Amino acid sequence: MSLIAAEAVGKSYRSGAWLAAPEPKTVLRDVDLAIAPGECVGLLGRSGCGKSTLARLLLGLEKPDAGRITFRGRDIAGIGGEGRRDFRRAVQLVFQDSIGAVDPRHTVERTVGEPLRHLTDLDHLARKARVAELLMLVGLDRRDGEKLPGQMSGGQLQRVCIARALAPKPELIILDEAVSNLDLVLQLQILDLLSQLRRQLGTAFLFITHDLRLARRLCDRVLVMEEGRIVDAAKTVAGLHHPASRALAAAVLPALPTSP
Amino acid sequence: MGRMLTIEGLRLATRRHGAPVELVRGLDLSVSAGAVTALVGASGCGKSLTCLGIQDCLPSGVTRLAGRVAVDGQVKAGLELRGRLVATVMQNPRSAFNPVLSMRAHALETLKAAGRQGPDSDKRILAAFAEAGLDEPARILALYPFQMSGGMLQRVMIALALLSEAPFLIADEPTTDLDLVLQAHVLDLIERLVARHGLGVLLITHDMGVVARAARTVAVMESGQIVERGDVHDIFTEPRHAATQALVAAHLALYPEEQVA
Repeated sequence: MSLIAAEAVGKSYRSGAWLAAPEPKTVLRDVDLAIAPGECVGLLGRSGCGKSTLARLLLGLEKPDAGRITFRGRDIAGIGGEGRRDFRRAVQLVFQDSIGAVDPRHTVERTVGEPLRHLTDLDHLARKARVAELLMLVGLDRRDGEKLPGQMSGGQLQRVCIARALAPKPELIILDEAVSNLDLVLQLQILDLLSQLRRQLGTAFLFITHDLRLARRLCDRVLVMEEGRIVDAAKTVAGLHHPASRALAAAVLPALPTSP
Repeated sequence: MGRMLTIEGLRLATRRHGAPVELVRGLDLSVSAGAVTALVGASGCGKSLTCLGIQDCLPSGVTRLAGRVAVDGQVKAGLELRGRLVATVMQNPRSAFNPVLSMRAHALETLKAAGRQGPDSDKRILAAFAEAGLDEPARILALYPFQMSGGMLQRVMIALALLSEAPFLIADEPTTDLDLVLQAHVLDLIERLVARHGLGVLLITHDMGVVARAARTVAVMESGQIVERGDVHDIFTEPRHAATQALVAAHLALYPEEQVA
C-alpha cells in the first residue's frame, strides 16, 4: 500500500481586487500521485506550476477542493486525535527558505527539539540526547546546538531544518526546493546526505525542484507538472518526453563551456 | 570600443568585537567591454560585497580600507559609477523595486538620473522593454511590482540598465531566484546585449553551469581573495587551485558521465 497518495486532487484559489468579483484561479487539476514507503520521487516543473500547492495539500496544511489525500489508505481529512498526531509525525517537510523556517530567537537545540516536544513522549534529557544525535547525523557539531540561527550560514541552517524534519523519525520528508538557495558544493553535500539517510533509515522523499540535474542524482522516478497537472512520468530523467519536460531539459545549463 | 573597468587593491573590512576583520583582502579585477567576466566562489567568500564595494554602497559597518576603481584608466568615485557607468542587476528583483511605483515611474527615474529625460522618454522606455524581451511593453508600463512575476521584474531590471546606457553591468546572481527556463532566457538576454551593445558584464554567481553558459573569463574567489583566474575553458579543464577544483568537481558531479567527457 502506498504511504501517502493524492487521488484526483483539485485546488483553486480566489484572487482579485478588493471590489471586483473574485476570480477563482485553478492551480491543481485532477492530480494523482502515490508514494510508496522508502521511495524517492522527484516532482519537477517551472515556477507557478502547482508543485508547492500539491506539497501543502499532502502535508494537510490546506484542504483540496476536489479529490482526497490519503495516508495509509485513510483520508487525512477524517483523521483526528491520536491518528492526526501519527500523521504529523510521519510526514515532515523542509522548505527552500531556511532562514524563514526557524525562529531567530530559538537556539538550534530548541528548534530541532520542537517536534520531539510536541510529537513524542521523550523527556527533557532524552530529547537533549536525541538532538545531539540528530545534529551529528546531518554533519553538524553537538556544540552547534547552543547557536542561534543568526550565527549560522545558509547551508548549516538548512541542515538544521533537515535535522528537525528527521527528529520524529518520519516516514516521508517533503523537500520543497530545499537546496535551491545553496551553492553547488553545499547542494551536493546535502544531496549526498539525503541519499545516505535514505539508505540508513529508509525514509521516503518527495523532492520538489525545477532543476533536472538534482533530480537525476537522487530520485527513483520523476514526475513533471505543468499548469496544475502531472503531464509526464518516468523512471529516469532521460525517459521524459512531454514538451514541458523537454523545455526543462533544454534549459539545463551546460556541463562545459560552450562558447568558442 | 575596448573600454575597461578596473578594480585595484580593493580591501573591505568590518569590526567584530572591536577588532577589524578584513572581508575582501586586496582584490584586483578587470572587466572588459563586450565580454562577460564571471566572479565565482562559495557563499560567504565576499563576491557580493565586492560588487557593492566597487560602487561604494556598502552596508553599514563595512568600510573600504583601500582600493581604486577606474574606467579606461581614470579613477572614478562611487557616485560617478553608480547608474551612470555601471548598472546593477541583483539577485532578488522584488526587493529592487519600489512597491508603490509603476514600471513607468521606475524607468523615468532612471532616465532622469542619466539626464536623458525628454519628450521621447516613453518611446525609449518601450524600446528598452521590448529589447529586454518583455511582451506587450505598453501594458507593462502601468504595472506595479506585485502584479509581475520574478522573471518579468528581472527583465525590467535589465531594461533599466539599458536605459541608463551604462557601458558596464554588474549582475549579482541574476538568475538564482528564477526557474531553469527563465534562467536560460535571462542569460540569453545578457549574451545578446553583450554582443549588440558591447556591454561589459561582471557576472557574480556560484553556479558553474551559468559560468559555462555565459562567461569568457573567470575569476575564482575564496575568503576575500581571488585565488585563480583564467579563460573559461582552462578553468573547466585544468583548474589549479583547490577552491576551483571543488567548484568544478561539484558542478560536473551533477551531470551524467557522457556529457562531461
